[in-house]
Amino acid sequence: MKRVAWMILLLGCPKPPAPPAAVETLAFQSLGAFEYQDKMKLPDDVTKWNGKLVNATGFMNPVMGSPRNLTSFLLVKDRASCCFGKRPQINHFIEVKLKAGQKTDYSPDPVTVRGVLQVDDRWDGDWQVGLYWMDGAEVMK
Amino acid sequence: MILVALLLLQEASSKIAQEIEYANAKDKPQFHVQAVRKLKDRGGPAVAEAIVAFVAKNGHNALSITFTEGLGSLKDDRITALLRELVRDKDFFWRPTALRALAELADKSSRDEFRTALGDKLWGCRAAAVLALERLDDRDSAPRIRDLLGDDIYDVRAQAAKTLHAFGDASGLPVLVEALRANTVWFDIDYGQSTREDAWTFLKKIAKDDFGYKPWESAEERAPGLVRAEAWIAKTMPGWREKVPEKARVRAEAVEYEFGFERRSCQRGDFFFRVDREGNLVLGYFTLEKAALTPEELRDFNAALAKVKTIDRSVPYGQGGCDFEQYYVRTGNRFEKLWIGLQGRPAAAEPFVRMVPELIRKKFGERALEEFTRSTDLFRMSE
Repeated sequence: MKRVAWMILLLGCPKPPAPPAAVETLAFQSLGAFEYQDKMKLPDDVTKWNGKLVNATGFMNPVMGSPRNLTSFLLVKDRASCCFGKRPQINHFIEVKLKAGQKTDYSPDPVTVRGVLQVDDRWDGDWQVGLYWMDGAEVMK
Repeated sequence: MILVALLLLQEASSKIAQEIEYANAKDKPQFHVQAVRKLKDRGGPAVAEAIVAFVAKNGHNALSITFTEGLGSLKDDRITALLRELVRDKDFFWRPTALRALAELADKSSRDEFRTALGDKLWGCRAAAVLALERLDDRDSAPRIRDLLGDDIYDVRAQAAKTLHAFGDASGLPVLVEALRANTVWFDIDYGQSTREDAWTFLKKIAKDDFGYKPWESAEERAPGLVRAEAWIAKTMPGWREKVPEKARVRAEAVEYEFGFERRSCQRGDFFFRVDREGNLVLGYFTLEKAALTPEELRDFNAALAKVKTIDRSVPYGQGGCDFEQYYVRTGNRFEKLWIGLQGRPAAAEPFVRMVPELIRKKFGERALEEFTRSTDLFRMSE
């Protein structure tokens, strides 16, 4: 009877959490180091990052509107394509969506964002929507 | 048959309208580049007509920078006329870009527009005008372009040197060789590197030798390449160093700063000043002008700055975009930045912004004062 009680107790216990995935530092420059052509096969240097948990350091593109309480933003690879009016090329930014409930303010300094990078050439009809994505991301302080 | 043609025409026209809208959509920056590309590929009078109608309906400032740049690839008289209109509109956000686009079209009838722009207040316009006159092979403008070798801004000096070289005049090359020594640092940003890279890229092309110089390396590592580059110019131009205009000369900058003010405005141009540890007011960042503050001036300055320091620097103010003020405030060994976008300047910063113009006028004259004040109002908090 005692043994049965133990077994029930053990089966009812939650499984130990999976070890956290290792975080890699994204080589952001390599994502933009090729000339993108429509619907091309992306270089291995780029696709190897797909699905990896990464820390990506770049600059927030200051879009029009309030710079406070942002839940999403474009993270661009360098200051030149961020802050002085220039629009980034399609392979020069990651579209970042923060974890539910998280907000952040625009910062002129480099920021590090942690999340799973998705390399996915998404199109809506004739329009390319983006290439690099990070959903459920966190801004590291 | 006619019906099918009409339907096709209607479909094409709605696609053009969508492409123009996407090329300028403020909330879809990722579409700008591809929408402009689609419009370029399409070309033709229908595109020009739709663009003119879009601008008439939405105004100049509805245009994105990417779209404005793309206008330079649409050869049509209506587009040329529109670009001239954009260049003349002093409130248009992207005047230098419009001027560059007009340069792309290389239309001889724009020549006077470009000649006038050599004296424009925005350095981006001056640089674009020089390039445009090169495209038109307007050698009559060479003397005025030669004057710009002594411009305050590297980009203008460099463009003048490159254009003169294209005209068969080597007198600007000392400016570029000197720029290989550029060491400009604005707090944590090494602007010197981009200057060095630009100069080196041009020089290695015309010399057919990269001098073993790498602009991104440290000063010590760059030294042997610098010697080779200087030997190269000395061969054809002995005494080249004396030909470097005063404002293009690189000076050793080993000064510690106490405060910095950076204003960048896509609409109205940039303005920079700092106060160093010795109490000098230092204007600019490529070409520095320095003036000592009296103890009274420094006291008043610090009193106004003390109010700025009370503002919470952990949050940005105003609207996002490419027009902003940044105040670099020393806290211990580092600087904290106060970021203020359009219409966002907190009231505590207003006494500072009201006090600075008089100081700038007294130390650097009316021209510097005008440069400071022309964009001040953009950041004043909206009522």
